[in-house]
Amino acid sequence: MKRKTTAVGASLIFLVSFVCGLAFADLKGSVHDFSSPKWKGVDQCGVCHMPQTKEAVPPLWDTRVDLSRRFGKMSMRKADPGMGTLACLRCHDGTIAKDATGAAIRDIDYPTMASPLRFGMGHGRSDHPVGVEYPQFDPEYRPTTFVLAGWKVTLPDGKVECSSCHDPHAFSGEKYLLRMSNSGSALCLTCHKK
Amino acid sequence: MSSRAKSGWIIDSRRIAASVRSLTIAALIVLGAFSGCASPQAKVDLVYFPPPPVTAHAVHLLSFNNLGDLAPAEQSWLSVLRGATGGPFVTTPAGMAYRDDVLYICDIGQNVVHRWNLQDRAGRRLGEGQLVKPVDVAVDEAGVVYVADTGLAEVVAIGSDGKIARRLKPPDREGYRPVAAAVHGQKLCVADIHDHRVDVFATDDGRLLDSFGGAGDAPGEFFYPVDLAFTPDGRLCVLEMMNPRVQVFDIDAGHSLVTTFGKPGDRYGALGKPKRIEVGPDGVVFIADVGFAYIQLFDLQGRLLMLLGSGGEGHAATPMPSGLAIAGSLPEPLAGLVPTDFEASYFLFASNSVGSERVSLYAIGLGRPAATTGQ
Repeated sequence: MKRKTTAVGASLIFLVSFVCGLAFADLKGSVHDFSSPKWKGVDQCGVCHMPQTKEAVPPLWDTRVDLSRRFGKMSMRKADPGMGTLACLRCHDGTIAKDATGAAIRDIDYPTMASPLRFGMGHGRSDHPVGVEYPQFDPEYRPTTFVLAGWKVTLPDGKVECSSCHDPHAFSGEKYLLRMSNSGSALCLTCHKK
Repeated sequence: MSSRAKSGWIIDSRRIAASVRSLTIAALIVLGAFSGCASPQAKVDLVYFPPPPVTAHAVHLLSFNNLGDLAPAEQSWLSVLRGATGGPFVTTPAGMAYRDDVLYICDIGQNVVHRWNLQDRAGRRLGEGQLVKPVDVAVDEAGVVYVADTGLAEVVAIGSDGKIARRLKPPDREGYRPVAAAVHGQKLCVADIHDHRVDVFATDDGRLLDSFGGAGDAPGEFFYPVDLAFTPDGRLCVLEMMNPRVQVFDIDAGHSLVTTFGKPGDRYGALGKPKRIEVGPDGVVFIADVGFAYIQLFDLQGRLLMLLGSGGEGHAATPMPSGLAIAGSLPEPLAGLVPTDFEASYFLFASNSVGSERVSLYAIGLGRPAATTGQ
C-alpha cells in the first residue's frame, strides 16, 4: 500500500514538473515571459496567479467568516464574463498592460439595469465579444463539435472567452499568444464559416 | 335573430372585456412607471456588510449605469417607455473622484471622463476627442481635473471651462505610463508604472517638485504602483499590484516612509491583486482587489476589518472593481436612501469594469441595533 502511494506521488510530481517545465519552456521569450530583467526577479506564476497562503486572519469587524476560504477563481465562478476572461482583465485594462476593453460604442445598446451591458473586447477598433454563449445554432458558425475537435480553440462553459483564442501560457509559440496559427485566417475559420 | 343577437352580444362583451384588460394593463404600466419617478430608478438593494446578525459597518444602497438612473426628474416619456432612464451612461469605468457633489468617472470604453453633478443632475463629457485612455482622475480645490492617460502618456489638466489647461509629464522620462493621480492641497501625485515611481507636481504651475521610488521590493521602492490615496492627515498611500502592499509616505518631509502593510496571498488578511485604494475620513483604507473580486477594508495598521461586495455574483457584485471615490456627503435623493437603522458617516462609490452593476454606492458608518435583524 505504501509502495503504491509512493508510486502515485512520484508520478504526480513528475507530471506536475513536466507540465510546469513545458509551460516555462514556452513562456520563455513570449510576451508573458516574466523572467526578463524588467520583472526584477518576481515570482513568474504570481504575476497572474495568486500565491496560496497557509494562514488566514479573521476580519476585526466580521469574525464569523469561514477562515478556510480561498479567494480568486472560486469567488468569481458565476461571473459574466468567466474566469477565462476576468483573469486577463486584471492587467489588460489599459493600466498594467495593453487595454483589451476597448468596447466599441456602436455595439452597446442603451445600458440599463434591466439590460446589462454586454462586454465588448477590443482588438484595436475591430472588437470581438467575450463572455457570450457560442452561437452553435447560427448557420454562419460551425458546430461546437467541429470547433472543439481540433483541440485548439476552447469554449469554457460553452462561452467565447479570451482563452478561446489566446493561451496565456504560450504553448503554441504563436504571436499574440494565439492558440494556433491564424495563417490564412485558420484560427478565425475554426468558428466562423466566412 | 335572437341567437344572432345573443352571439353578437357575446362577441361585443369579449371585445369590451379585451379592451378593459388592455386599458387596465396600460394603466398599470403607466402607474408602475411613474410610481418609480419619486426615487432613483436604479436597482435599490440594501445589503448590509457584514451581514446580520453582526453589526453592520456598510450598506450597499444602489447600483447604476447612467446618470438618468439617479435623476428621475429628467425622465422623458420615451425613456419610460423604452425602459431606460436616460442620460449619459458609463461603459467601462476606471478611476473615479468626487468633489462638491460632482462624481468624476474615467471611461476607457468611451475615452472620456464623465462629470456627473449629482445636485443638479447634469452630465458633461470631459476630454471628448482628446483623451485616449483615461485610467484615473483627481480634482483639486480650484476644480481643475487631472486625468492620468496611459494612451497619451501624460497627465492632462482640464480647467473648469472643459478645455485642456496643461499637460504634465516628468522631463526626460521614456515610456511614461501614468496610471494614478491624487491631489492634496497644492500637490498632485502621479504614479508611473513604467519606471515604478511616484512624481509630485505643483498644482499651480505644474512644476515637478519631487520624484521617488524605482523598481524593487525594498522599503521606498515600488513594483507596479497602481494607485495613490491620501490619509486624512495628508500622508500618501502608495498601492503596489505586483508586490501587493501599501506604503505610506510623508511627502511634506522628504517622502519619508511612515509605515508599510500588506502581503500577497489568497486568504483573509492577504492582498490578491490590489488595483485601487482610497482612504476614508476615519482612516479606513479601502482596497479594490481584482484578485479577490472584493473591496477589502483595512485600518492604517494593516489589520483587516472586513470585505465589501460579493465577488462575481449576487447583489452588490464586485467582479472587477476598477475605481473608488469617497464622498463626505451626498445630495438628495441619494442621501435619503440610507436606511433608518444605519448611521452613515460618509459614502463610497465603487466601479466595476465588467458586470451589470457598473457603479455601486455604499454608505459607510455603523448599524444601529435594529440593523442586526436585516431588511
